[in-house]
Amino acid sequence: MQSAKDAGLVRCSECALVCSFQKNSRCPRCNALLTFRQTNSLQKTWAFLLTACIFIIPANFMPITVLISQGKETPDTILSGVITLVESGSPGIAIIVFVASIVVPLAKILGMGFILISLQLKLNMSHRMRFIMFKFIDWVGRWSMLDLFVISIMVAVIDKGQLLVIVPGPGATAFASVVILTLLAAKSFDTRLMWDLEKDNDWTN
Amino acid sequence: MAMNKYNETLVACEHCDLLQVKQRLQLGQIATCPRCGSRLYFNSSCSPMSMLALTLTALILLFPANLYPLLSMTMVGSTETASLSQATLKIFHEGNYFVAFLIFFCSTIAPFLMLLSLCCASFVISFNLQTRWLKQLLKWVDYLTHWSMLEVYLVSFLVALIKLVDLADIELGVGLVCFCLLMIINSLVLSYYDSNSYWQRVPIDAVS
Repeated sequence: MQSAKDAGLVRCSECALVCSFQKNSRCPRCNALLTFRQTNSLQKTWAFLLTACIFIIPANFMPITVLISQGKETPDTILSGVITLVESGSPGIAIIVFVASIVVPLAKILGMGFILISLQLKLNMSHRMRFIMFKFIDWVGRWSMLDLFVISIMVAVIDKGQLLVIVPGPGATAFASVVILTLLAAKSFDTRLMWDLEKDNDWTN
Repeated sequence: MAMNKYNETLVACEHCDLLQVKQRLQLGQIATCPRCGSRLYFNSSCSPMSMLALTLTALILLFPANLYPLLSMTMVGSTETASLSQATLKIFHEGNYFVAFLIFFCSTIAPFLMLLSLCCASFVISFNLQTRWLKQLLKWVDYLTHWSMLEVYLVSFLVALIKLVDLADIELGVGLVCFCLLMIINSLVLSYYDSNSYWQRVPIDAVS
């Protein structure tokens, strides 16, 4: 059992053709530049992650929607929206929104941070565990878009002019940035770096 | 530029780089990586011709799903309808261009372009046409699947529905039926699409 890199072979990042590696050469099938690993993968992931860390603060504390009823403005943050849902008697939906908009972005940032740190400190942990963790983070990330889609539907439907209007607040922009940044962070992370760590190919654990 | 040697009998895992010899699979079988457990390649029971039919159906459904109302709502005497495209346009008019673009991209543009590229690629392969665009189409399919979020949109719709149901009288629209069908066909397309066999139809010596 050996990795392609150890055999001097490289998998084309676009079309998956296995080629022999030469510096600055391109894939004979799809013409993509061949590299063993994504270039600067860890740096890029850190950059996206830290930016997401900054944006998650306004995303949670600034109003994500503003309800204007007869001239009176009621701003709603993500958390206050969830609380309203609980009070109005739909705890199931409240849990979905809470998980998708608060737990998932936070868990993504913490989880990716943990994976990156454990990788760079070469902590001794099961590669398979770490990989499953990453796969989960990668899969669950897209569900954070849920809240933005909900807002777009609410804004479209509730439009009664002077009586009752919902408009997206500044928190929505910050939240959208967090979603994009965490998606990009997961995309720029090269999982093969995790398996490169194992020196003695002891991958059975 | 030096031409690289390649080996089509080998496969390297996308996620852990484990090198292995390709096996011949029976129809519908999936080969997974013994080290990290990800899917390596599979023998899809869906031919490019069937894929062409599926993607065409999805492309046709995409228009009513976007343009017909998902729901209409009666509140304080007046009725509002909302279609997917209207919902995006509203946010755009509020001046939140960034959020509007993101929603538009993930719910409409990405699925549309992904299905269109896959439809064209299936067409090219089914009828054995020669075009230098095939590899570009396959690359687009790969980039865009990541950003196409139809299933997330459907769940969002349900969440919005439950939020609204207490406020007003709601009637579901034709658009919703089309959207559900679109989502089902889209997930069929995703699970049957075999990128490996598509890429194998790209001629290697045609590259400059």
